[in-house]
Amino acid sequence: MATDLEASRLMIYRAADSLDRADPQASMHSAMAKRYATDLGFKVCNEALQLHGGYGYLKDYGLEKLVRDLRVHQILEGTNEIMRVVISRKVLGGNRG
Amino acid sequence: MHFALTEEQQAIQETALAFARERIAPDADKWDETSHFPIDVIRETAALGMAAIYVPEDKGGTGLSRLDGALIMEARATGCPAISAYISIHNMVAWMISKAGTPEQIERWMPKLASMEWLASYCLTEPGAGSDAAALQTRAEKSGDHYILNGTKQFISGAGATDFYFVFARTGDASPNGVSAFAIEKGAPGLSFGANERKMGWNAQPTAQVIMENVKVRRPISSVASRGRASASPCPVSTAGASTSAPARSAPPGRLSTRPKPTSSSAAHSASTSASSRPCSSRSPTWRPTSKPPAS
Repeated sequence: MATDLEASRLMIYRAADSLDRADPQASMHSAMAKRYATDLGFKVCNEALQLHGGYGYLKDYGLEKLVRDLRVHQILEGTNEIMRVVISRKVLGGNRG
Repeated sequence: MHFALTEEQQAIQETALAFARERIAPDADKWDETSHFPIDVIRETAALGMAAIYVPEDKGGTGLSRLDGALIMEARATGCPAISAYISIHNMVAWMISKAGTPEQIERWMPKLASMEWLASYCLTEPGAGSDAAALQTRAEKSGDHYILNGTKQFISGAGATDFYFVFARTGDASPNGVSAFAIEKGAPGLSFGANERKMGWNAQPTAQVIMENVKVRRPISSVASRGRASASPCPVSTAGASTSAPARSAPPGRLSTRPKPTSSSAAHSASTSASSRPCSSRSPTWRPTSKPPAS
């Protein structure tokens, strides 16, 4: 879980840095980071809930809120399926589009 | 290639973490349960320079980088992801205005956005145009010296509670190039909102439809369009929204006139200065609980 979180963080920072440097790959890096970090962010929170057993399912421990809040990140700002479309266009078509 | 934050970035991160810990986290569960949008707390972030984070200083923003922005949004999300996400949307709109707005539009709107006197909503998605954003149906028809907007936007964060709506509408053909951006202020005749959606999460911010019925707008947010090429798309309209465009890093000469002019670029300097209302900038990234009086 910690490794997933760290990998997600690195991809986000990398994408942000690409935007700052106007890197031609910035949109691909952004799409990859969005796809990866939102998928892994949700997974880590869901696993954290599991780790807490029945208590993770209660509102008192904050885990279920994170799972509910993070689920939508896989959908909004371009679903993660659309991120894959953006990535595949870049990978298969050079730097087009 | 660097994998370490600068001292400045660490200070920015600590500021945002402290804000999340002191001002967001204690009430996050309550806001979630009661579907409360804490506008007062959100507005406090503006005083820290977190409302127009990566808008250049000469355009009225804080002038930080996207990476700084990512650090801030990540740190704020430790308090509540839904609150941090809404503020990131506000920041995105402020940035788009700074990129696509005319100097007059930037001058008129940026002070209100950077101070969060106005909160912003980003209106791209429609009931029938989500993943295929370029298929949007909202129309903006030229009528004399202004435009008339008609259409419905779906899943709009902040809708009904925010003051400034950044709307994509079709001014030209059916391609992505036929789309322009417009700004509508709350209270505009013909602007209305759907019911607050009942959601699985993100309950600390409202989500609703934005409905436009003959809303009159003077001109698009685009210096290109204002010169007569109304069909040009002033902003990237991709299925990934604004997140895929790549702005050039700027080296702004000025700062917001409402902010103190820094005298030192040393991050350590800020530790010795007063700070409850200091903006999050490259020089003065500190935050103190509001209950504490400023050191000065």
